Amino acid sequence: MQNNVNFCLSIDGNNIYEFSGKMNEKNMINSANSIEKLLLQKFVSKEKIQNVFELFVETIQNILTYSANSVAITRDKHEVNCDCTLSYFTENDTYILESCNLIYKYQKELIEQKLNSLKDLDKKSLRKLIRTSSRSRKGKHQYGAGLGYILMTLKSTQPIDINFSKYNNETFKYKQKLVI
Amino acid sequence: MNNILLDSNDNSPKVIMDKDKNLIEFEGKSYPENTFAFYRPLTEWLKRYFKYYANENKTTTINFKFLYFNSATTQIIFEILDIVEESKIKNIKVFWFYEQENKNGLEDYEDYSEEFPSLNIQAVAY
Repeated sequence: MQNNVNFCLSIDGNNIYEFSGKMNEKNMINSANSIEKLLLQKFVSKEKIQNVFELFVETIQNILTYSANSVAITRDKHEVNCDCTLSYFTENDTYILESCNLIYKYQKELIEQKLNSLKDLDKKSLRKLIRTSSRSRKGKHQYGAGLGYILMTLKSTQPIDINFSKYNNETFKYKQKLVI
Repeated sequence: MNNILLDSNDNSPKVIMDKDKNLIEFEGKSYPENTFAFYRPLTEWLKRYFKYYANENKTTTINFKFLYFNSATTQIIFEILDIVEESKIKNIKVFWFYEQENKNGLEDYEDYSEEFPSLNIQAVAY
């Protein structure tokens, strides 16, 4: 499958960035750097650029690590088919990061539980949760601390919008929308 | 124990871990795909450094100069600060560098300094 990657600076519903194909670490780095460069050219605030950059990375690393169809290309590196777009809306100076990937049924429940536990927390509580979650997992170098979703909730300006549609008996298409 | 000097990469920071200069520094972006694998040898080095090399007669300086970092790196930063705090050595200066026009950096500093008051972490705006 050939990758489809587009970068252009357009606004109000048009995508700044589109990716459809095999995502891996190299494509993630190239994409993140290109997005950063585009936003720097537009004199976007440093804070907004950091939020867009970090949430893009967090989203893609979640996809690489947890997708049902993720393939290990080396011990520490993965590759997976996914779709991802970033668009910009002048109203409220808003970026929308949307992604779609396959996940297992049990992951659907975990994501729903996690986001449900975060939805009523304010910014201060989310920052405190990052601290306590990080320290409670001291020395446990493994994925699944759930810090990624806390960070996404903290840096999004609206609640994370998620949608699941059944793909087959074992997997769901997981769509995620972040407003930054 | 050898010093560790790593150049920055596309998604990993420049790292200086110099026991002779008592300098520990991280600079740049940090989002390796397997962040824990990247940092594991560095946290092991730190544990040995604070056990066998650091002492009250020489000042250890730790500089965090991260630009962007992922959530796994956040966990690692807490782990590093835990190692420093648990060493009980007082002659340590910890600096958190952040871009002045980016309030995220200052908020991160506030989180770390509140969580580790005994380390007296200093913020440095640039």
